[in-house]
Amino acid sequence: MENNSKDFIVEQIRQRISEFKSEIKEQNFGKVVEIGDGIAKVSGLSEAMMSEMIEFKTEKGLVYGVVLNLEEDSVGVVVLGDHSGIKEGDEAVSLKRILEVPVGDGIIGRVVNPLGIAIDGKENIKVEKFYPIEKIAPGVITRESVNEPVQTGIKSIDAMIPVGRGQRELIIGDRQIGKTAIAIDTIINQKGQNMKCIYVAIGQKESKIAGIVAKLQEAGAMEYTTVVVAGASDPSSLLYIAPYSGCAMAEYFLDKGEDVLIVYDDLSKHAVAYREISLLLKRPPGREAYPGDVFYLHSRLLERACKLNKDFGGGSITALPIIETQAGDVSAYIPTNVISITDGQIYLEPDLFYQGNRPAINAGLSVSRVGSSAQIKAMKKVAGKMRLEAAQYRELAAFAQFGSDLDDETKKKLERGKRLMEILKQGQYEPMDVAEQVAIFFSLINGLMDNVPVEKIREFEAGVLIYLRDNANDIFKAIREVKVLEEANEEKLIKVINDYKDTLDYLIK
Amino acid sequence: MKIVAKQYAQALFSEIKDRAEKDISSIINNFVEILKKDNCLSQMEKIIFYFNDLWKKEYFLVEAEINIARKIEPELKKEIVQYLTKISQAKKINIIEKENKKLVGGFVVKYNDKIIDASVKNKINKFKNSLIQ
Repeated sequence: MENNSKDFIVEQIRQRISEFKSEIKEQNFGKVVEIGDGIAKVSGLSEAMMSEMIEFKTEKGLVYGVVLNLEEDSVGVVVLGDHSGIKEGDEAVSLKRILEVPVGDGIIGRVVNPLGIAIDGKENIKVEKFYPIEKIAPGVITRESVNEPVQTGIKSIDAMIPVGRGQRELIIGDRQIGKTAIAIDTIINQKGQNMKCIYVAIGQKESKIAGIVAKLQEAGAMEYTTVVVAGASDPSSLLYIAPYSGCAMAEYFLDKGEDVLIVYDDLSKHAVAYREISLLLKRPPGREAYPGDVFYLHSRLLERACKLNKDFGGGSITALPIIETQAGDVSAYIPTNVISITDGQIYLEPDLFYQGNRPAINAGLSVSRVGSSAQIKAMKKVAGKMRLEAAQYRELAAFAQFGSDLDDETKKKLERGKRLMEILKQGQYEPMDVAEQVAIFFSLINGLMDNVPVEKIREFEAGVLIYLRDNANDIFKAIREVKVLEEANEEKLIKVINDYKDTLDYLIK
Repeated sequence: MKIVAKQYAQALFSEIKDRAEKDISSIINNFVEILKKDNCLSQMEKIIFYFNDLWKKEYFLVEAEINIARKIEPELKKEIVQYLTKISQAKKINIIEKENKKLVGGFVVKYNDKIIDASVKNKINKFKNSLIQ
C-alpha cells in the first residue's frame, strides 16, 4: 500500500512536469519613481491599460497593484496589500489582465478578502473561473421588472416597504441604530428561499465582522453566504475594490440563473476610501473634498443589481447598500447621491430607537419604489389596509397629544394604532416567516387584537403563533405554497384565533 | 508659465541637433546660464533624462541590458542583437552585459520599457505557482 501510494505520487509529479509548458513572452515594464501612502508612480509602462494589474518585484516578494491614472510619461498605481516592501527603482511588470477575482461555488460559506483569498483559516478555495471586478451593468433588453419578493422576515419591511428580487433598497441611518441588524436578519431569513447571500464589509471593525460571522454560522446562514471583508486596518485600495469584487462574485451566480442578495456595509466608508485614493492621485477635490466622479462610483456599482428575464437566465441581484449619516443629516453629499440611485430607502430614526421601537424604521420617510408588485397576494391583501392604519395613527397621535376629548371613532383608531406599533416591534435575529406575518396582520386589521391590552400584545403574538402552528398549520402551508389567503381559510383563521383567546385571562372585558 | 524639464530638454535638443561640434559647448554654456537665471538648476537630472530619450529616438538608438547567469557566448549575443534590431527597428544597439548568478540559467533582456524573461529562475517560479494551484 505504502509503495503503491508512493509510486502514485511520483507518477503524478512526473505528469505535472511533463504537462508544464512555459512560454517566454515580451512584457511591458517600468520603474517605481515615487511611492507613498499606497500609491506608486511608475515610469515606463507605455502600454498600460486602465485598471490593469501590475506586479511589483520587491525584496519581500511579489505585490500587486492596479492602474488608476494614466499620465504622459508615468502611470499612477494603487498597491493592493502591503506596500512597505516597495522601493524607488523597483521593477513593475504589467500583466495585461484587468483586475479579476476568483468566483465559483467554492466561495459559498467562506470569508474572503476583496481579492478572493480565503482569510478564515480553512483550506484554499478551488478556483473555477475569474471574473473582472468592473463590468458594465446588464442592458435594457436583458432585464425585466421586479416581480418576486425578497422576504426580509422583518414585519415592518415586508408589510410596508416590500423589497423585490433585483431591487436596490438603501438602508440609511445614524451609527448604532440597527442598520447592520436589518441586513443580517434578512440574510438569516433567506434560509430555504433559494437565495445566495454575499455580505461585503467595508471598513468595519474586525471584531464586529467576527461577531457577524459567528452569528450567521449559529443561524445556519453560512451555508449559502459569503463574507467579503475589507477591514478597518486594510489599505484603502482594498476598501475601494471590495464592493466591486463582491458584485463580481454575485454575477457568477446571476449568470447561472440564480438569485443573489448582496449587502454593502457600508458605502459611506467606501466613498471615504475612494476620496483618500483620489486625493493621493492628485485628482481635484469637489464638494466635501470628494472627487467629481463619486456619483459614478456608486451608480455603476448599484446599476449592476438587476432582474434578468427568462431569455437571459432569469437570475437576479438584489442590493442592500447601507449608508451611515452624521447626526441624521440625510442631505449630505453621499446620502443624497445614493438615495437618488436606489429604488427606495429604509430610514432608521434615533427618536424611534430610543422610544423602544426596534427596528426603528420610520414608515413615513421610508419608501420602496417597486411597491406591492414585490409582495405575495396574501401579504398584499393585509398590508394595504395596515399601511393605511399606520398612516392614520401617525396623524392622529400627533393631533391627540393636545386634545383630551376625542370621539369614539378616533379613540378606536388610536387604540388600534398603538397595537399596530406594538406588533411592528421585533427582536434582533428573530426574522419571521411570511405566512406567520400574514396571520398576525390579519388578526390586527380584523380587530381580533382590539381587546388585548397594549402591554400584552407581544405576549399574545407569541402565544397565538404557537397555537396556530399546532391548530392551523394547513393555513400556513397554503399561504406558503399558493401564496394566497383564501376566504375559507380567513374564516378558519378567525375561528382558531378566537379559540385561543378563550383560553386567555388578560383580555379587556 | 513655468517651463518644465521636458520643454527644456526639447529646446536644448532642437538647438544642438545638426550643429557642428565647436558650437555645442557655447550652446550648453548659454543653456546652463538660462537655467541659472530661471532658478531651475535642480531640474538638471530630469532634463538629462528627457534629453537622452529624445536623442535615442532621433538616431534610432536602443540601449539593451542583458542579465545572464554565466558569461555570454558570442553566438547568443549575436542572435539577441539580431532579434532586437528586428523588433525595435533600431539602427544601433548598445548592449550592457550583467552577470547575475541568482538567475540560475538562461537570460533576461531589457530594452526601452520591454522585458523578456527567459531565465530558469522565472521558469521555476512559474512551475511552483502551477503546482500550488
